[in-house]
Amino acid sequence: MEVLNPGVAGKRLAIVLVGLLSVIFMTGSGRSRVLLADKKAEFNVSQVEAVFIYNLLHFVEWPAEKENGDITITIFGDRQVAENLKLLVGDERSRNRRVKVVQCRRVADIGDCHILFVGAGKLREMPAVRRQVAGKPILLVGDRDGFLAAGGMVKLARLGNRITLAVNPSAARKVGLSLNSRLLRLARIVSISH
Amino acid sequence: MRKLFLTIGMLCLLGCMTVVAPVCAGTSDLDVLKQLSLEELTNIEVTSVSRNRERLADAAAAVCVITSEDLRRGGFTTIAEALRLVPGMQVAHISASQWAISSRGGNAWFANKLLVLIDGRQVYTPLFSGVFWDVQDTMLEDIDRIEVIRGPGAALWGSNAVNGVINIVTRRAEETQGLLVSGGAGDRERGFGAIRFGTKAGEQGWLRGYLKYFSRDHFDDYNGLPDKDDWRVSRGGFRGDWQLAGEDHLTLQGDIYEGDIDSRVGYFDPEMFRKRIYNSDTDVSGGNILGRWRHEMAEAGSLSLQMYYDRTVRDVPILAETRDTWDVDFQHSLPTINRHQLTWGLGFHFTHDDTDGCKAIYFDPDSRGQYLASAFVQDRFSLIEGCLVLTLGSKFEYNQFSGFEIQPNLRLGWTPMEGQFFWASVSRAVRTPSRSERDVVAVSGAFPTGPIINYLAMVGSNDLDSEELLSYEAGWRSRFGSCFSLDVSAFYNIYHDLRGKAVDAFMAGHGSAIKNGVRILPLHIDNLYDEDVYGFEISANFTPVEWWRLNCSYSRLKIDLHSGVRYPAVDIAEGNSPEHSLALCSYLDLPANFEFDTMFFYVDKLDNEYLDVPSYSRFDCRLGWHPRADLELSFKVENLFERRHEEYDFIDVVPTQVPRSFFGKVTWKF
Repeated sequence: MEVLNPGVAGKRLAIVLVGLLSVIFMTGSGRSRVLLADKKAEFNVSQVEAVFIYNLLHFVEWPAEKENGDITITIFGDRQVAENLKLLVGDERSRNRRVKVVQCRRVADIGDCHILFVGAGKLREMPAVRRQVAGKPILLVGDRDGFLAAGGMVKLARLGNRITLAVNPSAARKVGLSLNSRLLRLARIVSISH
Repeated sequence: MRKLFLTIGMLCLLGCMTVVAPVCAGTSDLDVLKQLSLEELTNIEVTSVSRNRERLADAAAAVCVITSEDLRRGGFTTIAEALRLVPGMQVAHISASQWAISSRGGNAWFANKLLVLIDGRQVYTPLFSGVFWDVQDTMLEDIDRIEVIRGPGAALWGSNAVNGVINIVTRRAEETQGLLVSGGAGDRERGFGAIRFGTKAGEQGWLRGYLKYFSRDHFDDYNGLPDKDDWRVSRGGFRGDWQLAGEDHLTLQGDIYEGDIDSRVGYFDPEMFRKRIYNSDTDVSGGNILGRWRHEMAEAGSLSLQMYYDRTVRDVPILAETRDTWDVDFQHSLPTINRHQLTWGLGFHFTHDDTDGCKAIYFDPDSRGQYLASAFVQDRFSLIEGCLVLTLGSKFEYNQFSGFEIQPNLRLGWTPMEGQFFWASVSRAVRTPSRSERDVVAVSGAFPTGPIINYLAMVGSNDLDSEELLSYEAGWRSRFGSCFSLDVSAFYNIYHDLRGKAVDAFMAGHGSAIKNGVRILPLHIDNLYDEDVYGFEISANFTPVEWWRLNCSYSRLKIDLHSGVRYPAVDIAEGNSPEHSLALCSYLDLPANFEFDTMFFYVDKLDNEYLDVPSYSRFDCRLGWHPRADLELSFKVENLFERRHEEYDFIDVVPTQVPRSFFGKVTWKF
């Protein structure tokens, strides 16, 4: 029934593929990342989240006691975001102040800072985190559903393939932080009183 | 000659590995992102492949996640075939539409120790505690990930999560917006097509619907003659996700399907006094609807309530079954209090079947309702915060067949330093008797004595106990830099009371009363066997450069059956699962938006009283091309170096051989 002997066809196909592989490795090894980018401009979630966190520095006003000295961003429990943020910040300065990125794995290690990012796996630690930072003017940022309900202030919420912002301004106001109106316009406002 | 090509192929692959210097992936994307405003950032498209892979990184169990990217790059057309990527899983294609799939041994057409869920809905059938893989499907492009846990997950998931849990999770409706059309054809894939449309439904709601269809050609038997195992299924479904007040979330989803699945099945025809093979042209249909509500609280954690109804109809000529299932499940995850993370839940499951058998196989009674009430509690306790975590949990269940069951579990996870994770666990799991083991009458022989006809029949038993597993596991997951990761797990499984046919009762001459001139000489199903199964799985991921990812896994499995009896059932017999299996996958991004992906599988022989399947190697490859960002063209060849090979043997269903095959596919996203 078969017109072409499958054995022969298979061998031909194999030769073609082996040839193809060789060509690829002779010509293609030096290919650039740009090609990938124009295939589809997709970025890694952790990278985008890191940039979001860094940008938030421009949209939040801290009370006077925190307007001097280094700016500290603490990442609690998300290695990838922490690493990306460190790469991003490098030696840069924001409003002429040095930005420090601190990564910690335990609630007890969370010290004073400007922004605290609570990683997805640490959502259930929120009551303890809130006790640890009790009343301090620290912007609590997270990326998990339930983060605002649990007392968070800014959520980097997944919406389809995009990351959007959801904020609970009253939680921020309570500790003396004021969120820029541009941020509020851009974000979905979730009002949960605690 | 075939071997030569195989060797060349492998050498080529190995050559490539050494040629490319292991320069790890950089993060130049950050510079691009840095230039963007907050508004622009909210419009960036993100992929969360790595996040999905890391989601279970601190789970003290042998876990493996198949991501949507793995599914796409592997060019898979069925969920069953994608499971080949999981180390420690046995996947054997019996005929075009039938698979034998198991984890850590016990592989058979009716493998019965695996729990499979699609978006929280159980899809294994209580009929035989197994899975009809031919009807488990959804829009593959909408699958977010497939989480596979090898080893018992009974403390959380309950009975039947004995050897593993497979969790198929689809994307939220908001992640699948717009129109997607895909279709293709090949020599065995006669034609397949799918369409999905996602749209907004209200201010904070999203909805999607899909339709898909495929028609697959038959395979050939070992003589190269065409068999009658072609099949086709059409399917449609929807999913809606709504963000409610605060951060509450509501999901509503459902599917319906209809298909016609042909295969040849062997059975003993008591009227003709001989075994017959007949064309089992099976009509399947079904539907389900599921709702899930998730409520987030400030100080009290989160609640989730899920309900579903599922109907399956399987009209096999010798045994038709219609089944309705209702399930309600409640779960409460508490926030961490004094280093304790408590989760508890309650569930109620009711299933009702209606069967229509024949003289050769029937159920007595032909209709039955079964219920299962369950509760579970689990505590995750940080002995040393961020370093040593102890998880203790148990499921408590009550079912009509075997009564009260407790399935406890103890797990310890240790993170001595970032990127290194060690774990160990001990757990007990049971498989409760299935409807078949309780009520079936399956004739396997007949002879007349005078006017009376005697049937030798396997007969279900009322006092069957659950099969029991005590499992010891340990593992190590580690990450070396950002380009290499390793996952090793080992297990020792001790099974008790595995069921088999009690020949002794039959030998003693106990028969049933004579009814309509027929006497049944029963071979009762009983808890007869003990077994030890042990082995290990190693899996390594290597990303030498940003545009090339390699995955290699090896699994070793050994089964020791403690019994002198010659004919244990095939799912517990030694040699039903390969002792060695190897998988090598390479995913390569090429210039001009091409992708070249290759997969190599080696599966050891199957060898026992029932099975005689030689070892086989299988080489699949796929070429993909994205001429535009929204368009994908791909071409896949399966089983490249071999005309055909056999993967399983004749146990009830007539096996056919997996042929070399190819197909092309187009996917267009709007």
